[in-house]
Amino acid sequence: MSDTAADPATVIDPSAVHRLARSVSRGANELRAEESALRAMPALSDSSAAGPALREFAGLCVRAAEILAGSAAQLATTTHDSASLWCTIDRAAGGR
Amino acid sequence: MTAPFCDPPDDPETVTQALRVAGQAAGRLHEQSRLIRQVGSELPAAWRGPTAAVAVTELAAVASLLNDAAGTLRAGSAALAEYRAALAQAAPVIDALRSRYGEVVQDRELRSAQAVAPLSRGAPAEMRAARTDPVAEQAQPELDALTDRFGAVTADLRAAAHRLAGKLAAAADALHVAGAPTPLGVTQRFAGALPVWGAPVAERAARDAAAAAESGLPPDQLRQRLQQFSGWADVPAFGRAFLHDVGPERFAALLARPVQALYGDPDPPGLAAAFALLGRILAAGTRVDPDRAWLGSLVHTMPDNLRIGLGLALRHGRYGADALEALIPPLLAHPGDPGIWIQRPVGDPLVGAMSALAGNPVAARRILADRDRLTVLLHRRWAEDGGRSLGFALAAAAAGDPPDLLFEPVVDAVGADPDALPAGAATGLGQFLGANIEAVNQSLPNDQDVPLPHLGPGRRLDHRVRLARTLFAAMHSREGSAAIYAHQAAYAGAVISRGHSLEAELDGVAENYGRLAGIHQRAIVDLADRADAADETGANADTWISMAQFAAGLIPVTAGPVAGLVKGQVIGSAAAKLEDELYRKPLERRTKARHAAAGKLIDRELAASEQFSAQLIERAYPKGAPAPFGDLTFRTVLHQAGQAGQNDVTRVLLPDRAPG
Repeated sequence: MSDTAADPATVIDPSAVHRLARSVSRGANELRAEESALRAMPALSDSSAAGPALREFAGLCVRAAEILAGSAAQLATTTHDSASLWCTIDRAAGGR
Repeated sequence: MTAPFCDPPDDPETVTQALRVAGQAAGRLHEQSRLIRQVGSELPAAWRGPTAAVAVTELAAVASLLNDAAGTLRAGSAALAEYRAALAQAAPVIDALRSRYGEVVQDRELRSAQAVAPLSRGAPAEMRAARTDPVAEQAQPELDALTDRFGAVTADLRAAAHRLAGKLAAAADALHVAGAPTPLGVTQRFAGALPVWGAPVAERAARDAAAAAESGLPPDQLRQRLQQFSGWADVPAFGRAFLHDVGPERFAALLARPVQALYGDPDPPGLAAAFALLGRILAAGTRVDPDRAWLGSLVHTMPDNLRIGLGLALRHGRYGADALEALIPPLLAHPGDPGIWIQRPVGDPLVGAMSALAGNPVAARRILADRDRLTVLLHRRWAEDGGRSLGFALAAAAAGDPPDLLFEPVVDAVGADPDALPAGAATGLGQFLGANIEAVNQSLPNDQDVPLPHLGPGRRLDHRVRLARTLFAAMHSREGSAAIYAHQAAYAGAVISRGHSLEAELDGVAENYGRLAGIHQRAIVDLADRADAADETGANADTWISMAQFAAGLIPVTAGPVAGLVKGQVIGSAAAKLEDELYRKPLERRTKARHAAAGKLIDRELAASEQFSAQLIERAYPKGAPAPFGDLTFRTVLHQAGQAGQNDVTRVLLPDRAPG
């Protein structure tokens, strides 16, 4: 862990943050795969009492998975951007 | 013959696939949740700073949502598994039933054929049937039993499918916010829970909405287009972004332009929804830490249509106190404006302003605390709502702490001239006084003679007299009276439940009941003097009393906790007494008097008609002159004329005036 020159209040370990970013990013991708699987969830017969309920449930699951995947992807980008930025600052500070 | 036992509508394999997908997804989401929690726990050690704090918050929110979603999927998967078990159980049973049914039918047909064979071809059908029946009868009970068994299996499956539907619906409920299970609802739920991700999504929607607002569409199409964003209207991030993107001048135009349609039609289609949408967006976008410069620009100049449009928008949405403090004073600068529609006033900006204050006690207290402003509001014309919104704004102002902040200004302003109180404001004023019941009890006149509400000029109006007059004004409303009595009952209950009350204190509360009742009685008499029969019919005693009882259950008592039993006893006996003494008896007396008066009026009308018709006959057929009819009373003249074929009543009664 190294203190950055740009902001004494901020303490960062760029490599650790990079690892975290990769981990979140991987999670986001897996969630996207999950979303595809949910999208393929078969529906029951229209003449069954449970058919419409299953369709609605599946639709909401897909939507929830989409949103979670979007959120995780956004988070991964944010984390990655910050990590890259602080890496740059760190290198600049170290080089001085 | 094919057995009439069909397979269940759902394929067990389909159910298996669905439950497998849901189960796997649940497992993966749970694992993701665990990993993200782990990542979140490592983050503070690797990265400390403001950006990291946001990331940590977001990680926790994502992990929590993943876990929720996993639980929901698991519940759905378990429900599907139960259903699959029911299907699996049913399948062999149905197969066996079908097989046995086939055997029985085949056997019956075979035996029937053998039984019928010896008969000659020419034998009558009845004879062949008679030979078949015993065989059919032997097989029928078993076929019936098989059919019954199939019915039972089918019913079980149907019940299992309904159970599954219920469980899936409950699981789906966990995934969306209240209301229709729309993707928008789900999006909003997640947008609210995920600050990093949610705000950009809301802002993107706001940009789309702002672009639509700028698109130059015709008004109707623009309204329809903007309604598509209705689901976002209460989201602060959306509101802030929309207001920022559109800018104060354009937003002012959005508010002002549709008002033109109101001049031709007090309720043009779609307009109420348009103002509701704009109001909700304005409220959401300015609720917390509003952009004061933006708000200042919006109300910098206030042409009529903008004031009306802003007033209509203020009737919708939940506004923050700071926003209302910026928006309402410029509206109050034109207090005399009663609306734009003469016959049916609509769009009074101050009705909108007061409606917004009724929803925000903090702003209501800040804005109504100004005595001059209060006096102007109490004396202006409220053509649109009779002052109801003003009353509710006053009631809201009493909801803060301390509740009596506005007590003196309101009592001074109303008590100085109770007749000037707009009739519609009495209900809200009653709620205001109810919320200030402790102050009312401390200030009620302590002499036995409750002061008359109408005092002559020149007499000094001290605070106690003004309070009596204010109570008198409020008690012109049944709901207002109910609120005051209900608070009084709760206050009395609180005094009693303290357990160490002084007798003098209890006596004081009891006496105050009497004083309130005396003022109320005067209000009822005053109201009855002004009311017509329809108003009195509407004054339903049961409703009135039940409202008092209902209100009593909702009142927070500052003096201490109120035991439910005591409060119930107090309000019950008080309500019964009040109903009897103050409502039913006076009403009955007045009803009898009215009936008597009405009877006299009818008698007078009848006498006058008879006198008039007699004069007509006398004029047409003077005494001594030859008369065409034997009996010269009004009815018999008309009857005899009709029998003689003279159906023109004018010619019979006014022969000298009839044409021709």
